Amino acid sequence: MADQAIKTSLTGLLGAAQDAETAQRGFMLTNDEQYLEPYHLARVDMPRYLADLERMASNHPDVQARLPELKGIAAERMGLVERSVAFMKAGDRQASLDQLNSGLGKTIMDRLRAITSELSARQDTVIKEGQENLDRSQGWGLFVKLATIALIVALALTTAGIINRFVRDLESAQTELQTVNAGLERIVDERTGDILRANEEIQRFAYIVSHDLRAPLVNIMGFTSELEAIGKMVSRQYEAVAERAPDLMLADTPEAVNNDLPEAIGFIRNSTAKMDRLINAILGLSREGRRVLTPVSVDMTTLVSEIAGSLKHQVDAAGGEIVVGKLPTLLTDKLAIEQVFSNLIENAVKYVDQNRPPLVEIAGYKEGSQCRFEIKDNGRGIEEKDLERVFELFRRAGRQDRPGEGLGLAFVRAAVRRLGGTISIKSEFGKGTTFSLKFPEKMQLSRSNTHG
Amino acid sequence: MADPVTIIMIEDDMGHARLIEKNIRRAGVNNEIKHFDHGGAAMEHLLGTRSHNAPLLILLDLNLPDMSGTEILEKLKADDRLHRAPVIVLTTTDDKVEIQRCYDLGCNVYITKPVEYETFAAAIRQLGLFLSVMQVPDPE
Repeated sequence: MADQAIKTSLTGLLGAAQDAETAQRGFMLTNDEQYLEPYHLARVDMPRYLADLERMASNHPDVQARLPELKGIAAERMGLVERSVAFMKAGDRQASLDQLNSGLGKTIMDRLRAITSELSARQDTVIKEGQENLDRSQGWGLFVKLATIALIVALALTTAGIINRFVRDLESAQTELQTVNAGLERIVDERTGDILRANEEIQRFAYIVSHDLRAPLVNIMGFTSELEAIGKMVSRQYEAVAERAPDLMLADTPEAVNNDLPEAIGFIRNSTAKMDRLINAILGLSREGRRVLTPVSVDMTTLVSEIAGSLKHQVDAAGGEIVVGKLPTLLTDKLAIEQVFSNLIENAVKYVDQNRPPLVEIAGYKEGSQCRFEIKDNGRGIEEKDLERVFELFRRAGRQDRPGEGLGLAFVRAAVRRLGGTISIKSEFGKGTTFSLKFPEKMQLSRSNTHG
Repeated sequence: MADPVTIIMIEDDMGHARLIEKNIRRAGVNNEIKHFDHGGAAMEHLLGTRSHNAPLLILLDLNLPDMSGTEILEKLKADDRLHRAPVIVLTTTDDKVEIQRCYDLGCNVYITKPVEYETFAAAIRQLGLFLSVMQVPDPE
């Protein structure tokens, strides 16, 4: 540090001056030139110190100001010593002593001390200030570092806070979702319960109605037969009368007895017969709905192949084919699933297009916990407007040239739903129909399955 | 046969009762037929006429307005005097569980009334033939 160097040079300068003085005194006391050694050194050192000071003084105006004075004092000092030495060497010891006693040397030294100490003191102040500046700047640096650390910590905390908030938001969203889900599940459960109860009621209703409707039907059929028997009797009686007493005959009696009576009875019989079939159908549906389902492992490939086998004769006669793919195994009620598939496959074989040999393809795929089945035919197809209608009870679509009561698909849909599945239909009129079924791989027993 | 068997017919539907009776007669069975159109009157008659010792055969419909046929069947089979009397259940119900329950309770024959009258008539006539040859135990 320049300030420290100035101080060193000043001290050096003062030291050199003192050395020179000491050397002078020693020489004067002993007249031994040996004692002049420090003086010689000082003669070399002093200009060096002064040169140093001069070099460094450019940045220090206070030193600069006193430099000429210092130089003068230094020269005086050295000159004093020089003269003293010269007196001594000349043998004039008294002159040397006089010079010493004049106090000039002391005055010079005092001035030198005063200046050096003043300048040193100022340098100390400067150094101190520098130190303080340094300390301050170091303090600033520390502050900056601390601030940086604080900033980093703050940033970290903020980030953590944000992440935390995100996590909390996420958690609360999740909780909300769970609540909503739970609510949804509860609602679904309630609705399912309502539907199941409604379904059970319909089942009971259907069962009671079909039984209670049957009883009057027995009477209608029975007494119609009685009437028919009586009609035949009357007819025979009438023929006997016509033969023996034609004049007793009324004009429209032959028509009434021979045509109207059998016709009326015929209509009553056909209608009651049909009503009986319909009632039986409802009864069958309700009975199937009341049947307790027993889930067992069902190899669908085998089951469907057996159904296909039972229809082989019919399909072969039409030159057609039923192709059964590899089907997934289901845990379900065997009877119900068999009825579903046999109904659908029988339909596919029943409603063929006469222009081409029937081709029925059954495929199945596993989709997660669900199994999808497709029954595809190249039959006559179903018109768009009838697609939903075909599932309704007693409804049939297309030309009514095949026997049936419109029960099959109604039964199929009811059974599919009971097995926890869904059924959908795609059809192109004149090209063919595809039924898509979806079942859970493992059937869940529902509450509707608790009663027998 | 010591005493002619009396047929007790418990049937709420008058038409059914008439058709059953007609067809039983057509089968040549001329036993007395006592018809009750509800369970209460029938039970009163059956349990109340202890002095009357003629052997009985009971034709029972299950769908009665005042009590169920199975209840009557249960009471008959629990009665000391009547429990041996043959009971023929003749009803519209062809529910398997119901049929099983009737046989469990001691019903001897279970016949479903077919809507198809010819079948119904034939069934009743056959029942008539069956009645004409079957042995009915005397009440104790």
